Amino acid sequence: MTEHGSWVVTTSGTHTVSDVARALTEHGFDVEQVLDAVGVITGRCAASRVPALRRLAGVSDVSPDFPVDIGPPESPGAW
Amino acid sequence: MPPRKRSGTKRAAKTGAASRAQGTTADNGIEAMLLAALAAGDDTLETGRYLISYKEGALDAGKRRLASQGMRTADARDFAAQDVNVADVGDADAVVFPEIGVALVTGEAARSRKMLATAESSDDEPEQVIEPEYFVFSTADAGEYLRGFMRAAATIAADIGAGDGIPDDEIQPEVFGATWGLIACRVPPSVRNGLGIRVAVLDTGMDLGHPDFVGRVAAAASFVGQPVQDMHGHGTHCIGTACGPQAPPNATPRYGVAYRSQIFVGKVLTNSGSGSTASVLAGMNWAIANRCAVISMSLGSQAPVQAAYTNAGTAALNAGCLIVAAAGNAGSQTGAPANSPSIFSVASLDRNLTPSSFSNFGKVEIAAPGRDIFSAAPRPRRYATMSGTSMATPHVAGVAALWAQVNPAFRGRTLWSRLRASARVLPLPVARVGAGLVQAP
Repeated sequence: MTEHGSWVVTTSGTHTVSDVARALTEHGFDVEQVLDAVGVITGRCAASRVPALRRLAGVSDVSPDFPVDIGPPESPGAW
Repeated sequence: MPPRKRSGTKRAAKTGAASRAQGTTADNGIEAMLLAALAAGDDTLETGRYLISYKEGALDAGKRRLASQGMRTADARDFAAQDVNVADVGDADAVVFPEIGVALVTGEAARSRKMLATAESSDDEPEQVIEPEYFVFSTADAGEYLRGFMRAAATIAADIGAGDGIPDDEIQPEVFGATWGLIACRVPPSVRNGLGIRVAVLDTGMDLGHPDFVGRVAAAASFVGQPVQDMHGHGTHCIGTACGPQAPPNATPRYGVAYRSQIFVGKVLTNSGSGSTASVLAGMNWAIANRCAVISMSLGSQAPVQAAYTNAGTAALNAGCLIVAAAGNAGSQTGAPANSPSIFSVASLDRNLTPSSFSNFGKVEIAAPGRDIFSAAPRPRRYATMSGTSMATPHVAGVAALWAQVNPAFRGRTLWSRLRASARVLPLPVARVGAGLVQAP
């Protein structure tokens, strides 16, 4: 992962999404999106901080932001 | 396909107004035409008449041309408040509606003057397009209306001893000229159309000016920093299959399933076809917040199950939304997000109802047509044929919208079960086709 990569944080439902977002910010996570309806927060931080984020209350998963690519127009359908 | 000159907005306004002009005042005449069409075995919903749309400012030239072709022409301006009863214009061959730049011509007059030979006109001609007029049913669903009408006709026939009538199960209004995918999913005989159902398609956006979708987009949003307008083609094609019109213009076959659903366009992939989990999740969040009963995602990557997608799928089901996603085209294990247990995974079938060679397998809920699928494309192409589980997915999304229309209880997990329970069982492994071929109600 790059030094300040993009991460997707999945909440566990035990705490509100906004509470989790606040806790993430306090632990050096640069919040970009708070997605209430799906219980997900996205943002950036150093990979070295991720293990600590995973231990926060209300967090069930922290994963790298995966690329999604269906290929350019006229390509024979990557997806 | 050459670019078309006519703007979609104008066309819808014209044909709609012309239909209203006849529908409000000529109900008996319309019923008679409908009866005649049914008696002739014509169930295309065409009235047998033709609508000529004229170019801007070319109406007078058009009228002169009708006259030069020997047509007796009535003008709506000659009637009080332009309230024309089209079924009662004497022996006129054509009625001109100057406010909307349209002429309505009888089928016989049009045929005898060989007006139907060219669907598209050249620059120096006043006509923009000549197309069949269709029966329009303003409130009731057209299929329901026809079924009721045919039942009534059967009852009358039975009463006067003209036979035993038509059994209910043989009364199936059918649209000819539909794509193989729609026919395989039994969409044309369905009386459902997705009315009142919100369908979100998360993809590369949509050609918002496509003439087949005038007035159909309820909301559009971009999550990739580009305008929603689809410069890729994938998104427009998927929306076409899920939500395209009942009767596309000219000889274009029907290619769309839920033709009266409300379209929610979420652009989560750029015009080069790329995005990330974060942009896709943002689109899912938007679609669920808007309570779209069906959320179609023809996208993914060969990645293991991702917790965020699983969470999003569960949140969707809890909110009464069903997320349908493409299994993928790697000829390998189902990718993400379709591999999440809370997301409805779709595999692809060829025309002979065997799994497409590219289709992923393993975690598969259902299968749908995905090879050589004809649907909408951004202008100027307007239409294109594509293959992939991406094309199978919107077939399922559209059919899901039809089921959602059947019963307000068919939402979320119940809709999930209903789609699987109603699928046509195929003699193939569950890992390839899931419950089988998706079927319309």
